[in-house]
Amino acid sequence: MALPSDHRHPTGPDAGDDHTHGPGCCGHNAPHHAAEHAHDHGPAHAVFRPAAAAFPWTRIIPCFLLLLWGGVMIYYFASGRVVHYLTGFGGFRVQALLCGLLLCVMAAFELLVRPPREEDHDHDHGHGHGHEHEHEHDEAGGCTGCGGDHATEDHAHAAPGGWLAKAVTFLVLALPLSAAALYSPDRYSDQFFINKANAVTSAGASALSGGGIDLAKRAGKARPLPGAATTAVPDGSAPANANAFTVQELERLSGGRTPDGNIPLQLVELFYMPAQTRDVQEVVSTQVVETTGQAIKDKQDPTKMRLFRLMMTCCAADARPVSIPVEFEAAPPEWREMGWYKATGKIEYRQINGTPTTVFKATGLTPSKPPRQQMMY
Amino acid sequence: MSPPAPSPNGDILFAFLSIVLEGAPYLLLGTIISGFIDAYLPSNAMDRLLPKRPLFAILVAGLLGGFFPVCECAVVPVIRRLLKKGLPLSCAVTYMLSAPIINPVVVLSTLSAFKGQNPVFMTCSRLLMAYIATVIVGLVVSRLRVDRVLRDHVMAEGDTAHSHAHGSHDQRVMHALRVARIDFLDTALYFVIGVLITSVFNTRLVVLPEAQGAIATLSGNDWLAVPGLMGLAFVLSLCSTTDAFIAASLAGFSWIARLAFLVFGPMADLKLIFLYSSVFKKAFVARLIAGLFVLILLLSAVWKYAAPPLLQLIHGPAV
Repeated sequence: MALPSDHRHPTGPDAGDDHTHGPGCCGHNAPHHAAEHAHDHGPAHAVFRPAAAAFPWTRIIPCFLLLLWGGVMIYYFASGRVVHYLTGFGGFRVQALLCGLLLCVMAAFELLVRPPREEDHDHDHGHGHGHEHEHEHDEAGGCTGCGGDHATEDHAHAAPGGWLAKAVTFLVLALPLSAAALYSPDRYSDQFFINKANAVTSAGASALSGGGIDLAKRAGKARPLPGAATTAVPDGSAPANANAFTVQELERLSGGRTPDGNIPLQLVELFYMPAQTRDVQEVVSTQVVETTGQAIKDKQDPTKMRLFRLMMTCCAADARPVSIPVEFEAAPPEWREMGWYKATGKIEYRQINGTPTTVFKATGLTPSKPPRQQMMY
Repeated sequence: MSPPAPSPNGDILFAFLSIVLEGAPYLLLGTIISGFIDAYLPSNAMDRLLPKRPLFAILVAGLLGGFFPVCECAVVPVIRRLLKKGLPLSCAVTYMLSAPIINPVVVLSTLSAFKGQNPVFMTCSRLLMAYIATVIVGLVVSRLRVDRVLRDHVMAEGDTAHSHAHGSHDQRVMHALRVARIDFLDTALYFVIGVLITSVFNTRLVVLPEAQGAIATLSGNDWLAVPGLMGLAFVLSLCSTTDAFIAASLAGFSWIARLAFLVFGPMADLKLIFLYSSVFKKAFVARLIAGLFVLILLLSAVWKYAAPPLLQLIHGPAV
């Protein structure tokens, strides 16, 4: 594709000479061609220097694009909106920031450092290639040896395509990103949620994928949970650990009890509880916990309720639903499909469809506000 | 400025931007590696590093991902430069397809995602199947004519680096950044198109109850489930470091269908069609993807029946 990027040979008055190689320019005449190029070299410079002094679109446009991409990435990091797009684990957010900064640096570098010296440099070496060409041609069966007369590939692009291809390239690189940066709502629509809640990728009753989520991570601690080395196998056959998990530890890691005296836990933490060590499972099951999620009907038994939330692994596009069954002592209270609720109660572990599952035995269910952050990590 | 209200079109933009924010750093990383390869690697380095016999070269290329770990977005600009440095086309294709799977990051994420679901078996199967498939593809590609595979402008790319071989350090870094910049925008073009289509599919099509219902009906029968999940992987265009988590959560699908999902997805998907098109001719991309589909389907069929007895040989219980 033609890129509106720089050219070692700006399309100046001399652009019609040997620089306009079309595709397949590496034909058999290439060695000869390289030599010819070297010949033209001197006079060509004399001609296109002034042309380069005209408005340098070919350098401005790539710089603009780099700044646009870099700017969007920096803005989303700096404004904090990135939390809706990327998980806090694994350095994805910092990567985005670094990428944005680097793109801006590259753009600045391109704008400030003029390349004429390099042009000379490349040209100087253009001659050296005639002899090298033939044997490389045989070995690789291709044109890899074609040499310095194609200083960079954009040069090779530059000839065909013309302004239309360049305009399309520019629009593709600029428009979708600008539109997304300006109009992205930072969250999915309700319809998407309803669809996702019933998706086959639902990590429901029969799937337990240890996402490596644990309470320690949530508390922002890199320290593994006590006994994390002996991670429980899901059938619960983990050995009891001498260095057992305590209620105090749970209180601390969960960020302290609520005013009602409950332990607030994220739905995903409850979901992954069967993957925790036995001591953690036991301590959590002795406490009254509360968690927030959206209510959906259980697919297998529509009278039953599940609480679900979307969870992202890396970015919002890989969001998948995570849900746990909620059971009540008596008949479940009135609830609205897709409504946000806070459930209070204790948890149990049970094999459902052959998979160890966290079951929420609720004593209370109250409508709640949607959390500020739509997705969990 | 508060973001606009959620809407179906907003879903597309939201998914698009999130993939861009996640993927662009890897794309840039790939192009920076590509820039430094261009500036520092002597043009015949690949000839010297790889075994002389084509078969051995391909066998080695399939394992290179272990040493140069790159995900599928970053690998495309990298192989473009490696081709220029004399890496044979067959090895380049093998490396391009295998590196996103056969690398340490993906091994760890697969192990972690399948915790409690035979993680070691799934991870080893994934690596083994990917290796076999990419070596076979490499062998086939070694019989093709280069000019029918590579795009003309890629073939026309000369090697500029030796002009810098005796340049100063600064000149080389400048050159590397320059190449990185050019490659970034060039690859980003295809990345944007791929991500845009992926976002539309993911937010508007795959989540529809009808589509979900169709996928769910496949789960019972492996003859349908394997190609079905491969098709899903193709459409979802997940990053190879993430896809294991999605595969592990595909409740109700057999392990072989999920394995096919994990092997096919990182080699061929909507986003990659466009990225591959920046290097390869369209006809080759189409054949490559169709070929991979059939090949992985066949390998899955073999592994479905070969793995349980093998596993039984190693340690008692079947899968």
